[in-house]
Amino acid sequence: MPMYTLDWFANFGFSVLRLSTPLIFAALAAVISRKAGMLNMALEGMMLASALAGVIISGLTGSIWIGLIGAVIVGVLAGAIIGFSNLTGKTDLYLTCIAFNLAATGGTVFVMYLLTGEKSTTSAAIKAFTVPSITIPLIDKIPLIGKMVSGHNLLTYLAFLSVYIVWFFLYKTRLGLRLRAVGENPKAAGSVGINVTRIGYISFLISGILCGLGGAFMSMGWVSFFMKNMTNGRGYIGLSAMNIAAGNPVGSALAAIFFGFSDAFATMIKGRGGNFPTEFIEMIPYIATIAALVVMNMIRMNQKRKIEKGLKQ
Amino acid sequence: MNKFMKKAMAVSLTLAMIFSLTACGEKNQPSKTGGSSGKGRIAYIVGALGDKSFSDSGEEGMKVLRKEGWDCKTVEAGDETKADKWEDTILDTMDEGYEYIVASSTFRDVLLKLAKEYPDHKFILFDDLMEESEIPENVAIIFYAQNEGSYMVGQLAAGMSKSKVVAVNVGMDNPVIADFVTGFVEGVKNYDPNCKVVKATVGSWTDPAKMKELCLTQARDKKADVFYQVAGGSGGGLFEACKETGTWAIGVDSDQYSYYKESENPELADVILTSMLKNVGDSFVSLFHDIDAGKDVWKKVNRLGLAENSVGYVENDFFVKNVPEEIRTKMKETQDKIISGEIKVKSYYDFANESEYQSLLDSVTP
Repeated sequence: MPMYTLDWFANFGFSVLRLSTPLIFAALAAVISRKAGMLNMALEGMMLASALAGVIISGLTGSIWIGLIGAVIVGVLAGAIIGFSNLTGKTDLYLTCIAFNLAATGGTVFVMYLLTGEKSTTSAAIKAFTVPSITIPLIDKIPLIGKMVSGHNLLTYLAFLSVYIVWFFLYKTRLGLRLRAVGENPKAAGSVGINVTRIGYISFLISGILCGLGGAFMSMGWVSFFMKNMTNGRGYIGLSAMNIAAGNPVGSALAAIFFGFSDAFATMIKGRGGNFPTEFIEMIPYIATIAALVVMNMIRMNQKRKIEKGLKQ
Repeated sequence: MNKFMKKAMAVSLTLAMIFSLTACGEKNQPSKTGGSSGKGRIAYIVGALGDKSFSDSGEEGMKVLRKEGWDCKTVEAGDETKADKWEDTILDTMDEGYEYIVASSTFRDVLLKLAKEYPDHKFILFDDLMEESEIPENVAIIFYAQNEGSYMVGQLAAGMSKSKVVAVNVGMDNPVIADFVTGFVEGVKNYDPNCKVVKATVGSWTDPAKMKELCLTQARDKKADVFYQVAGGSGGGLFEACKETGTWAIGVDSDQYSYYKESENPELADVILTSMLKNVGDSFVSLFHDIDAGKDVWKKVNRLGLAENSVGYVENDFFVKNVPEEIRTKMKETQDKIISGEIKVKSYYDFANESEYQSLLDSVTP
């Protein structure tokens, strides 16, 4: 059976893009926080809360779009809660984020139980709604690319669009410039009249919107129901993707796609059956993160040394 | 005013505590008399109820026993993240006077430790297997022949497959799960030696998204067209993938067809040909009947299989409508042969080592 045909590559590419979608959203959410000078570790919990909210609200209202908006609103609310604790309440950001993740893990099950009486999944209790997939006219006719790029969930396209939007926001708008200024040096930014707290809130809220979309993709796109702990660490992988690219939106998205690729690769190997130790492939994202961080730091140190050398001469 | 409020608060709290204490006392009273009337007090320890299969099936058994006059209590001890508290939870229950502790293989280590320390209590460890010589005097083990049930659905899968490639996707790898897989593979091989099996592990019991991706990949690359899930919560992703690709699914533990058919999303049921059943609840009822009748169930493995009706498959209208008669007859024949002992289904526990299991998987990989 000829396996590695053009069709196979198209399907594999399709799989990569789908697997990357939640990772891209999470990575971009991490980018916004990072550029404002914060490490948002609560992405996981924010996505989980949004995933549940999307399912419940769309189930209650019977509308996909209200559900999607609901997921985003819950993401924003989650961001506001963390922002309030950290910026107004002056709590430690890491502890707040860890606490929020734990609360989201238990809290989503609690809310699900209150509303549906189920403790693990809403797949039977709530009518499923999914964000539609879109076939792009003309492009879907191109041989390899068409099959790979066309027919994705609307949220997948939105993820790629968000890369541009986030880049534009950070580097081409006044608010983005201020946000980066706060991230570089909050005291200096404050001294020229930027409201540092307000910028902090804005970064959490934008982070919340992106996590909301990522969460909604999990429960209203990829599958059509909520399951306890269904994000399964994807928020943390998004955070790693951001770290690899040191907060650059395009680089972070590329890293997220690389993680999506290794995930698709592991799935493909697994799907062949037999007993290949797929745990090894599943380590790739984590090993890649460590390797990339080390390599990047080495490059940075090298540059620093060169600059220092140049200064001496 | 403030002081008065504080006092009022204190008084009302004290009253509340007293009332709750008496409430507890009253609650305990009838159960104690229940215990003395001959039947015992049973504590059923589970991770969490609400899984709609394994744990809930056990709870159904407890309900039956309760009606028969046993004093049954179900304790939700939490999942693996609460493992450090399991022992305390069980000890608390024993302190309340429950003499029979029923728990699954998840709690194996804690249960065996307690069995040693508290020889007067009786422990029932279900869904597990041990050398009989190693079982303590006060422990009874219930073992389900999931390999026999899986053998049956393996026959079905091989019969229903047009591409002659079927898939079995599990949540995580452990001996019980490997026993499912072994039975399934053997069943497929017996029905059609040319039929191939792809086996894959999701790596989580709660990642339906990954499961869905896996099934779509198997359907695409390997043309698999019948999928058997032994993956807990991740299984939902398998049903969705089958719906999308127009392939068949086989559920596990409880009747997942009727579960979804009566739910808010009935269209998800229309891919589930049947489910491999593990009647945990029934096994509790029959074990405690044996105990009540004075049979010796302790220090041994109480093996329950097709013959005892503890494992099997669902034969509902949907199954009859969609499975050709030829296959159904063949399945019936196989079932009779297993019950009569003519077919001895190979088990994971028969393998001398892991590599024998691996070579079984390799032998059917397309």
